[in-house]
Amino acid sequence: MPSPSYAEIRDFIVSAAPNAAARAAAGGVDDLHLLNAGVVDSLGFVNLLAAIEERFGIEIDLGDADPDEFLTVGGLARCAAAVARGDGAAHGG
Amino acid sequence: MSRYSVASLIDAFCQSADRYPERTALEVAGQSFTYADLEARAAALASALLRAEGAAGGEAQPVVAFLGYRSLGAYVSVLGVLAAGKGYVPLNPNFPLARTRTMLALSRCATLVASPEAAEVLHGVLADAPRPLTVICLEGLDAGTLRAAYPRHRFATPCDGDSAAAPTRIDRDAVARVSPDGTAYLLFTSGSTGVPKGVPVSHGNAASYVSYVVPRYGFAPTDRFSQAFDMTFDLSVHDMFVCWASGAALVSVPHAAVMAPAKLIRDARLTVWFSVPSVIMFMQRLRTLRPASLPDLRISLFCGEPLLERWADAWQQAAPNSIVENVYGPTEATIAISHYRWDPVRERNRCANGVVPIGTIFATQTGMIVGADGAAATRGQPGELWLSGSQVTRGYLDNPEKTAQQFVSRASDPRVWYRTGDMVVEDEDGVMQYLGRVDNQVQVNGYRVELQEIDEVLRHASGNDSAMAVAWPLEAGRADSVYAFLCAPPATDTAAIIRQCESVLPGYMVPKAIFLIGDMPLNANGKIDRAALARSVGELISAKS
Repeated sequence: MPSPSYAEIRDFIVSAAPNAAARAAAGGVDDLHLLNAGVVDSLGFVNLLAAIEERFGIEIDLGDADPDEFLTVGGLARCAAAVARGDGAAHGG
Repeated sequence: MSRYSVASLIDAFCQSADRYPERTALEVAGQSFTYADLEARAAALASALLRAEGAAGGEAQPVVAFLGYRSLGAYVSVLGVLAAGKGYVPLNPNFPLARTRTMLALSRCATLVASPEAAEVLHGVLADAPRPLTVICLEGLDAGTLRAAYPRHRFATPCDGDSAAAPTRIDRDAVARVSPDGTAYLLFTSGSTGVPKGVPVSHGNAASYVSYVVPRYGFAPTDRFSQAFDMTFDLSVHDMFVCWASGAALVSVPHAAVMAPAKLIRDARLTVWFSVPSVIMFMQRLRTLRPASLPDLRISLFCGEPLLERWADAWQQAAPNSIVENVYGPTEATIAISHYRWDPVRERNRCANGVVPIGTIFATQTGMIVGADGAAATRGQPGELWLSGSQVTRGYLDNPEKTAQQFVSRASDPRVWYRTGDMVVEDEDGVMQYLGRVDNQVQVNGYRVELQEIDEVLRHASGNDSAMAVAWPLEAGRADSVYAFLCAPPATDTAAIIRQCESVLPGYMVPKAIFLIGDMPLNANGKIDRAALARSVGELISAKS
């Protein structure tokens, strides 16, 4: 099975976090900060991460990633896509 | 050895500013400030506050509010207000405007210090303030524009007047005159009537805490402290003033990093960490807590919610050079009043239900466990924890009824005891284990919450008296979320009720979902059975999804 693309994962995040699209600026959702914009709280973020892992069959290890990076829609999608490709700091499932 | 002692929070800061003027006192938003830098800014603000108070006429104000969040301005506000001999009232611009207005009104503050990150909320506060305010605008806020927009209020800046004459040092004589009975800070905790309860904490209360804690842990000027707690939470007072009393550097943790701080702890070379225990859970779930990954930490403290044994173990493995302690205390007894040092080898059998004990009361304070019959409990018998001593505050702001309920005396004992409402049990060595709340107060994500306060907001928002909030999943008095039940028709617009809750309650108190039911379950006394409702939440969530 081909690994999911960045866009696929980003679209999944937006669908799993219904507030995301509504709270994004006109420029799009990529730079939307999930925590600061109130899309999810801490627990919601953990649940979102678990949903991505389950949906794409991967284990995301955020290791040394910068929270300001992985807490944006685009940043989280990039982390997950890198894992799915096998070149992230994590493990494909 | 002479006994370490400070007279007040501002005295603690000034002692270090005298000894270490060129050492780093604060790192925030990528900038670093020495003790001398911070003192100069605090002195200028204190001077501006006193000048503005004089210009406004009227009586001297005991407390001053500030509106700011994790910024230089917020820290300068705390120090400046204390340097002016007043108590501070922290207001978080990220809280709902209605709650901020309520806190400002309850505090009766006539003066507000505003930091630029609060500009938007400041407009909301000024537009509907019940009375004219004096607003001190910190650097980055345009006092002229505000003055033109809100002519009813007075505006000033720390730079007004003769800037060359602005003081750069906090007046040490004024610091020496600070009364131990005066208010150092006023915080609000969740109240069962739907209105937050104000807890004034005196300079003497806070000084007792700092004087005990600094020598106990052997903090040093070379330490680098985390500042993760929100300033509306009294554990932030520990972050700031135990650090500054030690001549150490305080590192403000950005909001996003509070959840996953491993990278920040390493990059900022922190040696002291203090947070709620659930941070460990988040780090584990994000896979950022690895063995030996935090080698620089030497002191790790956790407070605000039960510390699970497995979390303490994971943290100890990640920070092998650190002591790990569980500390406990209500706001009414000033920050924390008991501690327990985690020792995974020796002490594991002390953990009941997988929760690390809250330990023993500070050597300078007194605790007593009172059984249901009102008599002191014997070892092994559960009871409510009562506290007495120099850290125990005098009661609630303008609330003699609640004060009389919670701050009590016993026959032939002149001391005042604070009834914590926390159930504990003591083992044969006097180590206390936390069992939960006597009433309906719970910890939600580390914040103390009275469920009755949410009930009240729900009733108002829904126009329906049959509304009840529950904390779920509840374990040892701690929960992740709040859910609500409402006796109402299936077509009821629950989203609108939640939106209304969001406008008056902080996020952690807003119900995640409202379940519509036909009848409320009743217990044997005919009262609504909150526990039965809570037990049904899991099933209802599954059914919904």
